Amino acid sequence: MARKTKIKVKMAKKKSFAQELKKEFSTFGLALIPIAIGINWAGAFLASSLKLPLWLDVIGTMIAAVLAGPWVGFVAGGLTNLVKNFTFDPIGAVYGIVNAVVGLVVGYMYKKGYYTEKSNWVEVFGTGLLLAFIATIISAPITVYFFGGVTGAGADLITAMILGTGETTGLLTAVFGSELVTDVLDKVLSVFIVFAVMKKIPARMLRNK
Amino acid sequence: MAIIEFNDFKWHYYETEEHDLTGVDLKINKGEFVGLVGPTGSGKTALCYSVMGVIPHLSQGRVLGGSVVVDGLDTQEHSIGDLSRSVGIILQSPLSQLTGAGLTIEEEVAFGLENNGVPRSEMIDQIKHVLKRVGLYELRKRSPFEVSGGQQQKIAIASVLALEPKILILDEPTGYLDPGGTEAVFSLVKKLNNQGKTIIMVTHKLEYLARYADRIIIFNKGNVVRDGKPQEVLSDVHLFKANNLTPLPVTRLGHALKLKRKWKGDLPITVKDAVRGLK
Amino acid sequence: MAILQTNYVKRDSIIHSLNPMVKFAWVLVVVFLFLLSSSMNLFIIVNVIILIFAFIGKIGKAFIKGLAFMIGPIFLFSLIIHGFFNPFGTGSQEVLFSFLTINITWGGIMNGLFFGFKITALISVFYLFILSTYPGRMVNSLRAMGLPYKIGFLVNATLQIVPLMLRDAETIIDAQRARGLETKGKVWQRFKAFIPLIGPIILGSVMRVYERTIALEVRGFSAKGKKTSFYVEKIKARDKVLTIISLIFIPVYIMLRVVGWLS
Repeated sequence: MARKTKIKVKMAKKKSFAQELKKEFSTFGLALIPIAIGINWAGAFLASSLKLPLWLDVIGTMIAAVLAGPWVGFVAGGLTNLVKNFTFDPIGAVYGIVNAVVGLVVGYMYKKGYYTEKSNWVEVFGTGLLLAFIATIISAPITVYFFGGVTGAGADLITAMILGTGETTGLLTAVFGSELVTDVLDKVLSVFIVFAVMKKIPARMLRNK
Repeated sequence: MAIIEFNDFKWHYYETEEHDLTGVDLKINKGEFVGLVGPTGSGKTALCYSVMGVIPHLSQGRVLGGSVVVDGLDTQEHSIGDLSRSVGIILQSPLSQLTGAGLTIEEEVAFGLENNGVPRSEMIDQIKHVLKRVGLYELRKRSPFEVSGGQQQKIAIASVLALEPKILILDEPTGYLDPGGTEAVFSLVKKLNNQGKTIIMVTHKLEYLARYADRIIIFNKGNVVRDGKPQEVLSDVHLFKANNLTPLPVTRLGHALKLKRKWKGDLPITVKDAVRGLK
Repeated sequence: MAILQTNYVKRDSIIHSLNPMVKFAWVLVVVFLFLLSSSMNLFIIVNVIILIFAFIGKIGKAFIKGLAFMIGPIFLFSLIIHGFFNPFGTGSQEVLFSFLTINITWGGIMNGLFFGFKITALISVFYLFILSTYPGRMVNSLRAMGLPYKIGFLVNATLQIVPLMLRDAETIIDAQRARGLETKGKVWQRFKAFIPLIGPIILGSVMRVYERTIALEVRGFSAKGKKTSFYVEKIKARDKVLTIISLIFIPVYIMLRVVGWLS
């Protein structure tokens, strides 16, 4: 009897997850994705126009995650790099997974109430740090094992410097260090911007969770 | 039988700047050209959305009572997709209505037909037909994002017409357009009306309504305030003031002259009337 | 067409006329190798093949130019990181050169070269794809292959909406600059400038999503039932054949790897 109940509960959970996905990927969710990707690109474009040493390409992803749901954020983030990849930045694609996961995490944090328009500064900052940490944990190994620690960008200088000090225990740590620095700045700034946006958007749009 | 029937329809928005619908009773007949006028936030858009099915299916709110029946279909019992075969809506912003699903204008127009499972051979004919109707056939291979605002509105109209709805709702379609674009849209709509389509047009361009509309509804605080022929409604200067609206310049001129006893008879609503009256 | 500007170069060549699915298959193969292989020789061969294809496609010059720009820094940093420090510590430890506390080993240099070629192979295959494929065609051919219409919609809409938003971004930068926004100068100032620039873009575009949702719904976007397609992409027999031939490399590689002939 207990086994049957366990199975029933499992099936119910599976079914409601599928339903949740469907709800997220409503017409609104799908209509939001290209816009979110556009915001990601605009952010990156502005960052390079202003010669800021950050990516700033997750803002759209976060907005999608907050307005439509974590999995919509996931798709928006992943698709951002994929499109970039097939249009002019081949390396970026692999890191699409990072962008996607950021969306997922932000979406769930919004759902659970840790990061909402009602949060205070500390919570927002904490979310930024968490995201930076998660992002680096995912991207550093990718950089090390697939790209041999090379990204072709300024961060490589930091990597070389860290290795040069001879203090560290390996390439992974060095890359982790260099990416973490950039990621913290990048993600914390992004969460604060999205936080400000959440406060400005009329409440009726935020209901679409 | 009216093609659109509102039966004491009450709608409550959860939160928005627009007014709730407070028990609307309205009948619109096939082939009528109805102008909908009212101050911002009065609920005109809610009224349009109610005909389209956006209320109650998409908007955040709740039906408190009553019903809306469109072409025989109760909007609460039928999806927006079903209703889209009877009603089409054109919104204010040309850019927001471009789905982006099509890389050319003809693909953009095809979108609605594809979604409704129309067979390809029929699609090709229908698209050609509808693009010719709005005058965009020559531009059909261009990107929808590379043409003017007025032309983009025409794309929206064509996309909607492709599904052959009997009713066309336009919610301030010329808000973002220049006078040339505005004129083009209005004359196209009038042409469609002459071909038998029922039109509901929300607009502030009273001079066009004075010429084209069969009927004008003043709408405020979520309900109908006045409903009648253009001549009677548009010349009621006091009514306009009471509802925070600005009457036509010619009408105001006539009114001012009337106060000075220099005008006899009904107030003018077009320049022609004014000229005649001044003689 | 106002589609996302890519580096697409129009030429009249076989490579260009191939259905995008063939080139996409090449991308898949190289990505696969990138993830699994540790043979520098293999990647050198891949690079050579792609280079040959580029010349067949009459885009050889553009290809080399663009590629050099991208891989220059990559080889440089790779050789520095691996050559100077050899973090992986593999390969010959024979010291070639020594200064300060740094020992440059042969193994380190080889690692540096390995990663250089590996990354280059990945970039090359994508670059070849980018240079020889018209983006609009890519989406339509995917749709013709049976890609679900909602995904096709997403890609098409993205390809068209993103350049629009980038143009808006440019306009906003100019407008704000004209109003006195400081966009050059100290780092702190530039950071501050970011917000009044991204703000209007976000709010403006998000507000319009609701209208766009209505426009989509009204055209039957979530209608149930079979969808038909207006666009039909021609898939020639040779495209199918070439795709299959390309994809076969994957299982072949796996077999050879298992048997021990390759690494």
